[in-house]
Order: sequence, then structure tokens, then C-alpha cells
Amino acid sequence: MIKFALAGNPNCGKTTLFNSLTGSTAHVGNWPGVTVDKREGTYKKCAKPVSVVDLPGIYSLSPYTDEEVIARGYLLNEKPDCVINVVDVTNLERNLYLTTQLLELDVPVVVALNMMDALTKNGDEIEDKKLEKALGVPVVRISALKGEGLAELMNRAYEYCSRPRTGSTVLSHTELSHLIKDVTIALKGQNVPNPLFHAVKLVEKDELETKEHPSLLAMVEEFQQAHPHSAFGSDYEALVADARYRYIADNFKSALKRKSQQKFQTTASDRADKVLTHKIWGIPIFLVILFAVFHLTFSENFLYLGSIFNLPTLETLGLLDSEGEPISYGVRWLACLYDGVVYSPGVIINNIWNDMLVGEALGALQGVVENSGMEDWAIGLINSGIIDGLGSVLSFLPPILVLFLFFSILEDSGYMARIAFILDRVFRRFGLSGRAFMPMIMGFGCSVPAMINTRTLADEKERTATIRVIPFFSCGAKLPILTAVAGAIVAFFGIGNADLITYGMYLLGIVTAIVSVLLMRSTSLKGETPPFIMELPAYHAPQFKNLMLHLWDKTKHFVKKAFTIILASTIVIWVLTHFTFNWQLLADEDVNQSILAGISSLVQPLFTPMGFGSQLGAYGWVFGVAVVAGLIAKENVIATFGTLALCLVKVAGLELGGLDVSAADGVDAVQAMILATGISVPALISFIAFNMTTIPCFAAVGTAGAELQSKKRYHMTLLFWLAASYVVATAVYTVGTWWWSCFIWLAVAAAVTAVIVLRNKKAVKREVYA
Amino acid sequence: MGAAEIILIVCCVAVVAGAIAAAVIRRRKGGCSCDCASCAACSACSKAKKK
Repeated sequence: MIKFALAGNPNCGKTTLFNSLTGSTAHVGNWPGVTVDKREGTYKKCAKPVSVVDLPGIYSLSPYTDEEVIARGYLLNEKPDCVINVVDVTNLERNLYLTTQLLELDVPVVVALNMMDALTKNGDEIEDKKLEKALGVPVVRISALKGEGLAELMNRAYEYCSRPRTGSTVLSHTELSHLIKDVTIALKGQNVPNPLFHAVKLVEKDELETKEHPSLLAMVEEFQQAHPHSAFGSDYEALVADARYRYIADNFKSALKRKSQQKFQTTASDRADKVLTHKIWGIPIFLVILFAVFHLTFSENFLYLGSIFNLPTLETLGLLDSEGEPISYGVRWLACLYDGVVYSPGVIINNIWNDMLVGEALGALQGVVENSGMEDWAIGLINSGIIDGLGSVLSFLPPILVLFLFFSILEDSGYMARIAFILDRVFRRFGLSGRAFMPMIMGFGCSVPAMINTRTLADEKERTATIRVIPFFSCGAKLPILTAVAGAIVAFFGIGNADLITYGMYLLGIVTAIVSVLLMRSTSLKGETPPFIMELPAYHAPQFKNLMLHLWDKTKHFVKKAFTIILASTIVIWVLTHFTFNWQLLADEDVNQSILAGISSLVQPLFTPMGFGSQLGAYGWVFGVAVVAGLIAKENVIATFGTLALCLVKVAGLELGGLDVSAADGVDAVQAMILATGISVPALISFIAFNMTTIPCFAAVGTAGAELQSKKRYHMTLLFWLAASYVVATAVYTVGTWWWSCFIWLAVAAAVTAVIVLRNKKAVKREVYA
Repeated sequence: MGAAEIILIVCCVAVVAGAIAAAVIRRRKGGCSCDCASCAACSACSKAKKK
């Protein structure tokens, strides 16, 4: 199959173009470094199908970063039939630097001038025919975002790829032209493909080239000694780069006609950045925006309108009957939006999903099963094990999607890149550059691609530290735990706000990450913080289509996971809680005699310092089971509560007090746990903190192992996660229960800090005197 | 035990065995260790295929 490669600078629109051409939904992040490896798809609208390869964004073909090595390796070894050089036309000069290098390859090149929509919006113009004549290759105007010019691009590339092409260089009028020519001839004599490209790289003393062709290096060095340059001396790499930029300025700059002749123009993005990346106000603004996201998703008192205006409840308005139920179907819908308080958009969607749609459907299904005439154990397995277990997880689909939507908007708009820039100032003091923040932000979605994305970090110690703290940025799978427990605390104890508790827990994760990094970078992973240089993409309104595609993908992933891993887990948990070690079937009331209760009771004391261990009595083992089940998939924590809720309610002979545990609601399932075990609020918060910081799911653990590539570091990482979660959860529980214990924790922290500082001072002294 | 119960047991065993088998096969194939099933949307997997 014919192969086209997409090459270009970071954020020039390659992946957007790739998605448009292949129909893929590859992730387009509005920050550099999202694509860390190549990706393949197929374009079917040419005469024959064409394989399209999306390469990582690179500024040059010099092997300084992994992305450059990957892209260069592909272009030289895989021999694509055509290279489509995607150029951001709004940053023409910088983008053409790579173009001049691609032209040195013996491969057809087509230049795609992308972001034409942004160019015309600014009132600027480009003389693409002039550019085509100067470059000597086809130039096509496109807008990958709007889908314009794509057919023409592919047709021209298809037509052009069949004509062999010999590389050309913009350096033919420089002092190095003879040297380049001589080296090219020598390489041709050795039958080296792409001899011109390799010749120029040898002249630059490129690391990879000098290793491959040491015999020709002598020719270059001899020339260097004989002809030192007045400005660059023997630094031919700088000389070549200077020559390229001069050529671009002299020959291509005039092709772009700007509307305003003003050299430096302040754009809307610049004006926004003055505020959003302010030295002092940048971080508070970020915290406010983050709070706003959580408020819009979880708040049950939107904008605190209910408190400010003392709004009447449905009961006060006479819209509830004597049993407290809505008097009509219409009032049931109203109750999803308002009840003395106005619910936030996330909560409204959640209420409609659970109370009007899924709750009704699952309740009806359970009724059908109940009347099916099957044996009691079968009814129990289906209703309690499967429907309640699965239902308690599916009930969190709306808040997961709403939160994911808001994060996607922040990312697509370009604001996430700014956060990396702002936090670099903060993180640098703790030994991490802002570049490390990007994988952490991805951790809010899923830890696995976030850990893989740490490949963009060149420093191995920084990479290890980042991989270790990524799970502290709660992934989407942990959201049901946060939401269910926070919701149960508010509903059962009547204290706090769900959005504040959830926001607080996310902040706790971030603080834990910062403290952990500080400790690691002061001890076992000590090292220099690498410099951080990043191109800030322009702000733009997120594409509705992209957002919806992301949401659809997320929904499919969540539902697929629910009906595979989580379904399997709920079945196993139900079986293990309804059979004895002798495989005798147990009634719900006898759950304490089950296999799972027996095993879990042995480890229950381990959780005592954190508040959900032995102090919870006979049924406290449930929390231990939930934690272990969470290792398979974090959603299993709430699924476990859902599966066991009915058992515990029956065995404890509890008054439900409005709880309907057969309604498969995660919040009600947690409330059933509270009723059965008497767990306190600090212990519940500690339970959330433990799950947020402990060993993540098996998939993330496997990824960490693959990415760390050192068994020692991998085992230390597992120990680190266990230790961090134990310490954080114990601290939360003890401080929450006995407030004065905070002084003990501060004293311990001070002692640890003092030991580390003294050790480091000794190490510095030893280095000085060595 | 009636037919419905037998079918239920068979389905449950199939679900559990299937989940375990899928995880084992995925690991052996050397593919992504993530179970997100969103390969086309993942920026990091080199084996991402079109949907």
C-alpha cells in the first residue's frame, strides 16, 4: 500500500489532519508532546487506498529528543512514498526550517499550508504559487480543522508520489556547498540512500551520522581546520542553522502578506495570557477555574442560590405527597432540577439519569427477576450481585462525562498548556519542570496514557518521579469513589457540600504529589531540574465535534469496562460472599460466614490506623474487600458496596430510613455501609484518601513496570504507593478524629525534613572536599 | 435447579473466564497493557488502529 507520512512542527495540525483523513479519533491535545509515537490510518478516497502515518511533532531532524529520533528513523528507514509537510502558515518562518531539511531527502515532498482559516481571519494572505516555485515542490492550502483543501492535498500527493525526486538543499550558495557536495559524492559511492541529507548532517557533526560514517568525519574535520568561519568558528551546526534561516528570510518571507505591517502585534491570545499567566494571579485564577469545574459538576447548591435567596422547597410549595414523594410525573422532573436549591448542570444530568432513566429501568428489571420464579440464590445473584453492583457504577456515568467534558474544554482551548507554564515556576522548586505537569493532567483521565506520555521527559529521574505521582491525580475511574462517598457524607451526616469535599480531595492529591516529589527529588531521585521550553499554542474555541467524539469514546470505554471487568468482578464478589469454604450456599444474612468475610477479616486490622479496620466491628471487612477489588478496576470499589449493600442491610437488621438499596445507587450503597459499620466521617475521608493514593489498577501498575524499565525502581514504586497511601490516610483519619494530632504530624514532618536537609548538606560538603 | 439457573451459571462462568482470558491474551500479544479499549483515541499507543 502507498504510504504517506505527515511531518511538521508540534501543534501545526498533523493529528487533526490525520483524524480528518482517516476517520480516526486520535487524541488532539492543544499542547506540544501529545503524540509520542507514530500512528497509522488509511485514506480511501484516492484511486487506491493510502496508508497515512502521523509522526510526532518535531522542530528539526536532529536527534535531540525521542520524537525527533522516531520521526527521523521512520523517514529514513521506512521510506514513505511521500512526505506531507504540514506547515502552520501563521508561523511560516519557523515551520519552514524543518521543510528545508525534509527537502534534502530523496523522497517526494508536498507542503500543506495548514490553518488557512486562521490566516484569512487575520486578514493576511499567502502567495502559495510563489512559495511553490521557490521550494520546487507542490504547495497546497488546507484547513485541517474545517476540512478544507484535504481532497486536493491528497490528490496532488498521490499524483506526485509516483515521480522520483532527488533531494535539494538551500545551502548550495553557502561556504559549505563544496564540502557538502564532496561528502554527498562520497556517500553516493558507498550507495548510501538519501546521500544529500546524510552529507549535510555529517557536516553538522550530527551524533547519529558520525557514528554511522566515521570515515567521512575525517573529511569534514580537515575542511573545518582549513576553513574556520569568522562568526561560528568550527561550529558548523550553528552555521548551517543560520544559513537555513537566512535563506528562509530572503526567499520565503515575502510570500506572506500581513494585513498589519506592525512587526509585533498583540493578539487576543497575548491579551488573555497577560491575565491568565500572571506572575501572581496565574495560580489563584487556575484554582478558581478548577473549583468552578467541580462546582458545575457536583454542586447541589448551584452558585449557592438556595442559601442566598432562601428558596422554598418542593414540600413548602405543596408539590410532595404525605410520603414525601412528588405528586406528579412533571414534579418528578422538576425535582431533578430544584428542591429549595438549584442543582448544578452535572447534578441535574445525574438526577435525570439515575432517577428518571436508569433507576427506573433497573428497578423494573429487578421486579421482573423477582417475579420470574427462579430460585432465591439466582434472584440474589442477578439482583444484588449483577444489577446492584453494575448499577452502582453506571450511576456515575454522568458526572464522569461532565467532568471529562470540562477538562476537554480546558485542554482544547489551549489553557492546559498555560497551566504547565504557570506551574513550572512552582514545580521547579520541588524538582520538576512544568513539562512533567502535562502527563499529570492526563492522569485526571486515565493513568495509563499519562504514564506513557512521560516519554516526553528526557531526564530519567524526573520521569520516574512523575510516574510515581501520576496516580495521585485521581483518574476517571476513581471518580465514583469520590462522588459516592462525598454524596453519602452529605446525605447521611448532613455536613459539607459534595463539590467542596470532591474539590478538597483533588487538591489533597495534588498536595500529596508535590510533597512526594519534594521528598523524592531531595533523596533517592536527586538531580537537576531540566529546563522547560514550550511553544504556547494560540487560544481557540474547542471544536464541538471533537468534544462530542471524545465524550462518545469515553462513554463506550466506560460501558465496555462495566460490562466486562466490573461485571466479572461483581459476580466473583457475590459468589465469594454467598458460599462458605466448604462451598455451602449462604443466605444474605449469613454473609459473615462467607469465604470473602473469612479472608478479609484476617487483613481487616491492617486498615485500623486509617479508621476503616477493626474498629468497624463485624462488618468492617467490607472496606478491605472494596480496596482489594479496586486493584482490578477502581470502579470496583463502589461496585463492591453495591453488591454487598443488601446483604449488610439485611444482616444488620437496619432501618433503611429512606434508603432503597435495591435502586442500585452508589450513594445509597455507601450509606448502607455507614449504617452497617458505624464508620465515622474522618474514616470515610481517609478511605477516599487511601484509594486515591494507593496502588492504582493493574493496568496502570503494568504500564509503570513497562515504562520504568528497571525492576528495582518498579518495586520501589509499588512500595512508595503503599507507604504514601498508608501515611496520608492515617494522617487524615487521626487529624480528623483527634485534631491535636496535627501537632504530632507536624513534628514528624519537621524531623524528616531536618534529616533530609542535614544529609544533603553533608553530601554537598563531601563533594566539595572530594 | 431449572434451565434458567443453569443458563445463568454458564453465562456467569463465561463472563468471568472471558475477562480473565482477554487480559491474558492482551498481555501475551504484547499490546498495550491498558484496558481502555480506545486505541484510536490514545496518543501513546504505537499500535493504534483506525476504528
